[in-house]
Amino acid sequence: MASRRGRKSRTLNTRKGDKEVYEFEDEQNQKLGSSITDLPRPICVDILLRLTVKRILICKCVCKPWHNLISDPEFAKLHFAQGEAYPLVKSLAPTCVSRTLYLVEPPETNTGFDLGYCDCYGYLKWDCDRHLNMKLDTKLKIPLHNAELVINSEGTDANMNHLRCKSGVKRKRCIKLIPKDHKLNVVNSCNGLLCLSEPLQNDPVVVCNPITGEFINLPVPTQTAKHPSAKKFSDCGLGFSPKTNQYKVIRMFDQQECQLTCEPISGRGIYSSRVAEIHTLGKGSWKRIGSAPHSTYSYKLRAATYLNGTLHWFDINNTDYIISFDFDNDEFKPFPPPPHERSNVCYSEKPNMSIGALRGQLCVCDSSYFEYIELWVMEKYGVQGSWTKQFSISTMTDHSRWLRGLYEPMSYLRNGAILFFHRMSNAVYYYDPKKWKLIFLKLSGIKSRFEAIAHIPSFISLKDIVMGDNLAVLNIKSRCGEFKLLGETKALFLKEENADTDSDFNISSAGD
Amino acid sequence: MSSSLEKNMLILRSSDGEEFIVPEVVAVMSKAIKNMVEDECASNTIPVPNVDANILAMVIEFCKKHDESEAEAASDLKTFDSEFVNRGQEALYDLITAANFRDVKELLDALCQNVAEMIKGKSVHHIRIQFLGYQLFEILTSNFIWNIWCDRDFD
Repeated sequence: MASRRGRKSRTLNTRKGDKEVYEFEDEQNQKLGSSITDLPRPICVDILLRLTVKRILICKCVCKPWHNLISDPEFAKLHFAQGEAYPLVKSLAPTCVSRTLYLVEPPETNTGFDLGYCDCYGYLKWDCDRHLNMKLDTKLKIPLHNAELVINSEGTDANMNHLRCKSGVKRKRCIKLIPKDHKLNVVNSCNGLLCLSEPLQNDPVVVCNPITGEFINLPVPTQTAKHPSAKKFSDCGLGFSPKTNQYKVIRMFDQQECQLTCEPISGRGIYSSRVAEIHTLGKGSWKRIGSAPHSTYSYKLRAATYLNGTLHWFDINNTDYIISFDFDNDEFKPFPPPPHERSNVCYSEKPNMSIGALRGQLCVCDSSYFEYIELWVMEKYGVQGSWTKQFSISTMTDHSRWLRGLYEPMSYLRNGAILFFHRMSNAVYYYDPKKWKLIFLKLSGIKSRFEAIAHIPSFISLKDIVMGDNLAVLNIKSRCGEFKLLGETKALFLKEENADTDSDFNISSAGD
Repeated sequence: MSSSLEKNMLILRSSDGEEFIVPEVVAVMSKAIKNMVEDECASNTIPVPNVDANILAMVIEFCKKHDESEAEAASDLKTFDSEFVNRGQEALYDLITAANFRDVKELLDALCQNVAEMIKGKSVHHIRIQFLGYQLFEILTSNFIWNIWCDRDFD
């Protein structure tokens, strides 16, 4: 390759003398030499694996060799193997189109979100570059609930599609959609895939990989909750069975009549109408697997967390508040919670507790104490004795206030810091245990409330992991990915702020 | 290793015939040379094909520094590394190829990190200008459709 380029450069400069050409070459060394993109494949992989997801997506467009390299399943596997979980943030505002997800990666120049010591601490001067103010530009898209509507509307009034501005530049018209048509809930993340549900009954409808833009529509369930006294929602989640190497989606719903069944967690015989169905991606339809865990209260299962072939939920309804579903054997199992110092976790405290996975270990974040949050980590999976209280983090602000509310554990970064999502204040908390430092990173730019889930970004194609005869893998890029929908132009920022100066903290906490 | 062996010197001959006398401890930072020495298939002079004198001198400089500075502060070494790898693309390419071929892990790591730093924060367009240089014209004309597809995604 190098010689070919060299020759070409000389032919370009044939009018110059040989000596001059060499001088010219030396000067233009950078432009005429071998290109970095021609390096052997393993080295290119080494280089690309050091970049953020956003930059890898950009590199994919630089040249064909890199495009092929990044599309290669081998690269995707290597990338996923060294991947870290990051918060995936989604706006909850009804006016915003909810198909955009923002991946919160640390800034490229830094390993964490802490830009170092600053003497203006506590005052946060605007011109100080020691405080993070980062545009969240790793935007990922999930499909629209009713994409046909957008495609059809685009087709029918094609003439209206482009409005001519005064300058003569074509501008795309924004398409208006009502929430029913665009909204899909994000249920959980498993191996780089997301399970999405329709917002009305929370029935799972789509599995997608937001990085590649691929998605699969799930089969329509034959049975839905119709009984008047039945709960109006389903619980669901996506999981992976390492034994059979298959991805499965579970849904739990109330069927028409109550039956005397064996409750799968406690093993007692009860009257219950709640049943569970399972669907293996790429294989037929939904399959009944028996009754689902029953509860007297009607709260949704929260914080679906996939780990080790098992999906875990936080169940407010039960005293042992973690329930799990094993995808290898298709069965529900009770799961031992951490040994809290309080003898019994009382009901009112549970809303302030959450489960998650940090570096492949299940953890419980307990923020029901007044002035600190406790992080329990299960060091050996499934062994109750291995629950250890790893951190006890003071949530006191500089002005001696405490920020209460639910802290959701998101990621354990490579530099040893932990990210939490605090829904009440719309903020990401960055905690560095080495420096005992808590940084409050507010989501700003879009006035809305947000939700976040921990997600390990993956370049693995759905086509490579889901086997099926007549499986249609669709891509959002070819299905209204380009259409501009109302409210999609605004940018979201992550800004270091003083937790006390947070203006809408009180408003949002009042509405909680 | 015995002290007598440490004092051993090896002669490395570059592809264009220039010879470098280096201590064995420095030379064996290259896994490829280490294997040759261990297998005792090397005579006093070890040929280093595909690597010219210029690049070989750089590689030796890097290895010497890393060997000497085993006791030195890590931060000093880091500054040296970042200055060392800060070169034009041609030299970078040759250095990476040499480090890869001779299997010098530390050097390869520092170089790859440097290239990654070069990519950080840049757009598709900037990376193309930086790495593909005059090739850009070629790409723009012959792969017109390809380009439209890319720009649509990320600009």
